[in-house]
Amino acid sequence: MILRALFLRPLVRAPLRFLATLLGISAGVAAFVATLASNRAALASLREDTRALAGAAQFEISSAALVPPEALPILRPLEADAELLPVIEELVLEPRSGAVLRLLGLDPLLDPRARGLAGEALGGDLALRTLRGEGVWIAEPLALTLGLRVGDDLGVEAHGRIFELRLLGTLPAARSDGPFATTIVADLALADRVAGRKGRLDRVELLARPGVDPRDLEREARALVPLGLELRSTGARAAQTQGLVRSLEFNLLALSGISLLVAGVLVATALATSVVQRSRTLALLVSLGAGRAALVSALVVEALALGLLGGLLGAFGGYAGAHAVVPAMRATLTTVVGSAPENPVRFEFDLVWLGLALGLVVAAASAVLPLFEILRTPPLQSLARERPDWLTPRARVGAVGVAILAALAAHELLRLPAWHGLPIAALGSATALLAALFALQGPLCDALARLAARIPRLLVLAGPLRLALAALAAGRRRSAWAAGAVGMSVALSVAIATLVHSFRTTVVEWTASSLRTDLQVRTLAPPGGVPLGTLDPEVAQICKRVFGAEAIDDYHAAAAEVDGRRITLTGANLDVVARRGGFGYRDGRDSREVLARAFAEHSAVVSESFALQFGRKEGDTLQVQTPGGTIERRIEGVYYDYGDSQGTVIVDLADFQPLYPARATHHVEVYLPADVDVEVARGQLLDALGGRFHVEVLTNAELRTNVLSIFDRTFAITNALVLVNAFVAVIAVLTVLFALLRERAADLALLRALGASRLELGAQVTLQSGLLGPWVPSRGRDGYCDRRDARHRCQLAELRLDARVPPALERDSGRARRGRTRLSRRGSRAGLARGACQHERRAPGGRMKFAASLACLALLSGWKQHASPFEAHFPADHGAHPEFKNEWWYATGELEAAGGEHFGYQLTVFRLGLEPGLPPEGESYWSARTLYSGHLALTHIGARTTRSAERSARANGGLAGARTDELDAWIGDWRIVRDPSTGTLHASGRAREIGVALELDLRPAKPAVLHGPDGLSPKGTQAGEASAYVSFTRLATSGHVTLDGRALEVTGESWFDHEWGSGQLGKDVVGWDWFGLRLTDGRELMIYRLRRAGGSVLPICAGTLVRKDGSSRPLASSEVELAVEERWKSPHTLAEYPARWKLSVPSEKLELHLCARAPDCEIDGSHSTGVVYWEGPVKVEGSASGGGYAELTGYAGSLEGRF
Amino acid sequence: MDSAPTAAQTLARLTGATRRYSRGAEDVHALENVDLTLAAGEWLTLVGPSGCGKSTLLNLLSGVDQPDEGSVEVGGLELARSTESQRTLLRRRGIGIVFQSFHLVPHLTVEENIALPLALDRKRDPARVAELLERVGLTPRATHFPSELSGGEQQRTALARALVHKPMLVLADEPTGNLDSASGARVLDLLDELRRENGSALVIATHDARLAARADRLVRLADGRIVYDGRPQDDPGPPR
Repeated sequence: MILRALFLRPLVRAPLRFLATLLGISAGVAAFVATLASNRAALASLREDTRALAGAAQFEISSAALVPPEALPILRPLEADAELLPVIEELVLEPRSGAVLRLLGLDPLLDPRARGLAGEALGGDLALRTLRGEGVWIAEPLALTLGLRVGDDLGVEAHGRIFELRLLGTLPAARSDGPFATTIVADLALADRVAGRKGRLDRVELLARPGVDPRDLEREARALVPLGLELRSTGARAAQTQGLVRSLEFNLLALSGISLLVAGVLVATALATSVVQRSRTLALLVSLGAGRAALVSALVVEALALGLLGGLLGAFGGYAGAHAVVPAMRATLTTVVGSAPENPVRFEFDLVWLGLALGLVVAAASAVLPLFEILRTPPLQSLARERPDWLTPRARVGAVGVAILAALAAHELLRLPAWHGLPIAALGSATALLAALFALQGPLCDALARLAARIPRLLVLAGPLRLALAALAAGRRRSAWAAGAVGMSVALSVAIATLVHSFRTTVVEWTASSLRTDLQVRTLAPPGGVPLGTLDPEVAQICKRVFGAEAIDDYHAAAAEVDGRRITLTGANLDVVARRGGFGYRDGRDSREVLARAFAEHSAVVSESFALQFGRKEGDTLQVQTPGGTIERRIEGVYYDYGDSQGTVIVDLADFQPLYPARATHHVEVYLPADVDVEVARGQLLDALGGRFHVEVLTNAELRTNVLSIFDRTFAITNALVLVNAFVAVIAVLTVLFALLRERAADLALLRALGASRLELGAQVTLQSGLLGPWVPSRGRDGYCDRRDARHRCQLAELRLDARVPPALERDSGRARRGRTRLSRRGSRAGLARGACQHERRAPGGRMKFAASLACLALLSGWKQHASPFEAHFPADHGAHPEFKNEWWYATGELEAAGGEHFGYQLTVFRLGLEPGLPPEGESYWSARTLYSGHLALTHIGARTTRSAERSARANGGLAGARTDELDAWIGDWRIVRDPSTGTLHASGRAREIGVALELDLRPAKPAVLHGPDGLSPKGTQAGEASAYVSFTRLATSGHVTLDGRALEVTGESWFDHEWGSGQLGKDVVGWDWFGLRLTDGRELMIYRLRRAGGSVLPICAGTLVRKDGSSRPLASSEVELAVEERWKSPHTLAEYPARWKLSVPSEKLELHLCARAPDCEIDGSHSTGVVYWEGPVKVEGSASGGGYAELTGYAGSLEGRF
Repeated sequence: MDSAPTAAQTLARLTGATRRYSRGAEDVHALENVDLTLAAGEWLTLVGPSGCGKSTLLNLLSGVDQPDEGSVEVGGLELARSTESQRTLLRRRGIGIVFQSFHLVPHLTVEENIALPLALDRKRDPARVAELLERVGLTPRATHFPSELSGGEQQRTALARALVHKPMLVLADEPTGNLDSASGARVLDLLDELRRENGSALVIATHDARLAARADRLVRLADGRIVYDGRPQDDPGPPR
């Protein structure tokens, strides 16, 4: 009943007050939630997306100077424990939509992300085309947004060039959420070309193999990572970005927090006022015996209702508002961390919970004041004795004392530096000032009212004023709170407006005096963003050609560290800039003098924010850590820079380039002679650029305008929050006013009865509202410090939001005007993309499921064919033959461990050529011209089990390859190599995922054998269908096998094959059976037969007999009879393999029975060679005994056309 | 407190009750050394000029106010020594109050206003409420709001509210002060009728001589002191 009497019924019958209060609290919560949600969206691509993009990889190796491909062979030993995934990542601009997209260059052969994204779609023809860099993949929704279908061209701008990327496929929406929604997936080589990396990588990610402890991997990697490269977890990059924007985020949230505070005060005032409005009802209920607890509960319910509803409305309102705010937020953040792909504002339930929590907390805190009102409410009978609520002297002194203490605290806090980059002290100072303001409201209201009471003639002279003061005094506490709310909001607004205006004025002056370039050439920026990436080096060359090197400042920038903290190291042509001059210097010297000295003495100039943050001054020496080493420079001067908060060190370009050899030009600045017309010069430059480059050429005036527009965009979010503050404060004032009016309704009615006019009553009300905040604006100015006090400026800059002129614009020389390429003057940007620009087109060449499928898709033209006779020349012919398409080095053998266990092993390195001949000039280092695969298998004969592992890699970066002059073929840490001094082969490899490692020495017992008549082994009936086939047919083997951590010393015998050719397999051959047999009588037999579909066998050479003395002769097919006596059905593929044979070679008096020593020796190479086959040890019995290996292909899928 | 004392029992007693108010340097004696006893079921009228202490005495009886000296005992509860909760409970269950200005809750209906004391005590008695609505003749107006009622109807509502919980003591401060004579008479009749049925004692502060004449006993106050306490017909009138 009390709830109904005090809350529900009034709400229904007079909802305006409740709704106004609800609106106020929703606005405060919405401001906070909108700030948070838009901040998340703006940062997502830099923060969460960084983590999501990394996928399952635990670590990454990177460098500010990029990872050179030469580093990869050094990291190769890690291949045993991790997949090394090279990545190139670059932001590109889609010109039609202005969208910033992420180009992600992966190795589709290796990278599980490619597999995960494209799934089965990335196979066959598409796999080859992706690997060859013929096109890219994007998410389906993105394709829809851009109006593209598979087969269309996606035009992107990067490095000032347009690239047309053929859309090969789309990633299903279900697999491409998060960062992949705005990512272009491409082969590494294509990304290299577009990003202009010249073979360098953004990073190499490490994905631990199953069973590998990431901590062990980290330890191993740290021991191997070369100097200049950094190993960190994949989350660290996100954390670093987080660190950059932490201060900015804090400031924005603090601002929106103040909105919330103002909203809280609004609620308190409104609730308190509502208590007074219902004072009679309250007093009556007290008279009737209502307990205070019941009354308080009703208030609490009202507060909670306001909090819940306000919080809920605020959360949803904030989410909606975030969409409007996010462009401004993104504009603000890009000035700190650069552009990033857009992420939509995601609705997350935690924001709803946050909104509710904020609303409840604010409402609960706000209920404190009205609680006092309720507890003070006397019974109705005592209510009649209500009289003005003057402050006691003690209360007055106390309030003033609190205000003074708070003001002193504010002053002291302002002296403190930022805490870990966060302006906590500055925020505390601002809060203390607001508290001082708040504390003073009560005494001020009180003093005003008392003063008015002592002016006898006031009622006569200014009746409305007198009555207004009396009304305020009557509700002094509530008036004080309302005034406080208004005060805070106005103070904040004034402070920020003053700060922004002053800072803007400073920036205007600074740009006028410091930006001295005549023209600036830079890459294009997305709408509301900063220029993306770096310029194609040719642009700088063209500028030099047109204007002369002495007029060009080729500006470079990269990340470096000082004292373990990140800074920007800039390389500039100091001699060029010195002629014109630039930024103002702290010690007052002419910038030309400072720069000239810095150039002459190889010293550096640093920004003021650097000097303050790192405590350095002119004349100090500083050490800068870069990937290329540490450099030491004396500080020649400290310059003013209003665009930099992180700290910049500028050295001459000649000092910069050796440290970052691959770093491209960030932008070019042109200094023209005085008599040159800037527009004419711009025209000349555009002509020279010839429409090939998509760049901006800005004149000085355009540059200055650009700087200011970025400044304004940066502060858009601040201004929006100030508006919200003002809105909430207005509602606070209105709510209190209406309440005061209602409270004084009887008084007003009496005045009317006594003859007061409506005008006079209106004046009273106006004065009443005006009295709520007359002394506030002055407080706003107190929050603004002398801009000459750089420290305060910097601190306020922190509070102000770290607004940062983008790196492209922070130079100490002028900026160029906005320019257009010739085509854009003629037409639209779309015209640029499709017009006469000379676009980069990809020479024809994703995740590859099987190299063999690529082989069958790749053309044979351009590959060398064997011509008989063939003579082998060793040792060179033990090495690779890149002019031929296919090649493999194949070791198999039987081993016995000291404990009596018997094994069969296989280690194979396959080479597959994709593109014959040498790469054309300009082709990416990462262009996939040769692929390698590896198989490692171990059969435990006793356990009748076989474990196998496979590898795939492109022959770039040294992760896989083979020497051409000697036998040395490897993939990852699997390797077969020949010691030229002893002739011994060494076969080694670790496959942690199957718990197997091999370390074997293979000593040839006989010289190498060249199989086939005329030195070529026929593989078909047509001319050219033959391979060069060399074997060591008997090798004494010793070494170690590690199985599940058990190291076993083993001995045995092996067989080694090396075969190469181009499309050698006959067209109608679906598979083959191969045997490498070692007989105890010292002979070896190589038997093979090529099967057609239907089971018939090609009537070609059937094998080789190697005699005891090492001589050999080919065996004709007529000499060999091979009959299958038993078969085994694979439970994995259901393929039926022969398992027992009868082999007859009557000409050699051989009647042999061959039997597989373990039936299950099926090898799944579907992710490497694409072939599933059987390879295992066989036992030989009959007229001779022995052992050997058999290879059976084509039983689980035809090999037709693959080799 | 749940059952009203019998007619012979003393319901309330003031002993040497004194109440003063400060107005700057001056003290105003609202009540000075008042001794008064009220029997259960008795109708006592307080008369006297404005400022004589009638309202103060009512406030002391209701526990809203405390004497500066002396004691006040109601229903066996020594109010000066009682806690706020005890006094609240006294007002909730044992006392009904009728104000001159009605003081109905503007956002509650007539029915709800009447039921308010029961609701404060977490009780529901729709039959009792309906009965009182009927008795005060407001059944057709049960769902109307106070702003829709005449003065007499409002006071009848207030009257019903004061008696719905069958209090042992009803306090009325100028209950007919804002009513015309016909309405006032009707209110008074109802008040007397209902309180007799409950056995409630009634203390009315009034200027109205006719009202005073109907009481069992008349107490005249002047300058905070009792100058007469006896039968109405024996009242000599205000002191000169």
